Amino acid sequence: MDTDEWIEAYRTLERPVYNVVYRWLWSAEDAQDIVQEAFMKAWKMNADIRQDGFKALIFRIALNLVRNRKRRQAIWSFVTLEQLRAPTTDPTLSSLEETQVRHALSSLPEQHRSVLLLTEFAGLSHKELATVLGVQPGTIGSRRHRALAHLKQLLNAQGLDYEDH
Amino acid sequence: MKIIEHRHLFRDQNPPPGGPERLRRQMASRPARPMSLPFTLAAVGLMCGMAVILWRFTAPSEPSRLPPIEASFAFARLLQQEIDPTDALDVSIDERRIQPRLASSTARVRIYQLPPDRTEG
Repeated sequence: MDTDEWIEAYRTLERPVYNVVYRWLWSAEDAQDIVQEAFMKAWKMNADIRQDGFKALIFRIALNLVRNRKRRQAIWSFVTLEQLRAPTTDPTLSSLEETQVRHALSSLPEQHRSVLLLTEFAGLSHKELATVLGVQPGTIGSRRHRALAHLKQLLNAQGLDYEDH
Repeated sequence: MKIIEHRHLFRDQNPPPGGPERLRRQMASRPARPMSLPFTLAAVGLMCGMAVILWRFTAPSEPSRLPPIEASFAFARLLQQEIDPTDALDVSIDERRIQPRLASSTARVRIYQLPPDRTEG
């Protein structure tokens, strides 16, 4: 596999991986760093980009990198400048509401947050999701359902209501 | 109560531009990919083998570890007798003289046979 094939795979997966990672770190720069690092790791492992499991592998590496970075952040800083500014990404939400939404998502336990973000952005099959999350494919649906219910609770506690689709 | 719609929560965002170019640069900055595991193991094994061979041919042999002439004189002092370095190979040991100098009766004295070329001069 030459570099061009890797770049092509990157172009395909950059956006979904970025969107998952961004909602863990809330920093565009950090999220892009993670996506790059995940690809470099896969490249160094001589991963086969043509294999079915490649997409799941990238998400798995990215989430591991996120975990490591979050651990470091927990030691060195509590709130980043970007989080303080809380720029709105949705014009229909005020800055306060956006912060509340972020807070609710960030308050979810890791397994709920992962399943929500991956089912929303990754475009992976249940089998691939199960590989990334290390669970049985049959549990994905119920876990997502529980995660959404939990998120709704957290939003309600902040005076927001959640509507599915 | 403000309603947060699903699409608000999961609004798709564009990553910062320049990602593919940055990745290409990173890949280019590493001219060769790291070796695979079998290659790494073979390389480590080869290096270990070479180190053993090098050690085998360069390590000093047991008798030459101590300066032979000096050892002879030290031994002479122990025996309280004069030794001519040229006759160092023919040192005879007088046990009665050595015994009082040793810490205990079970102590062991190591005697090196000195190579002739080292005893000359």
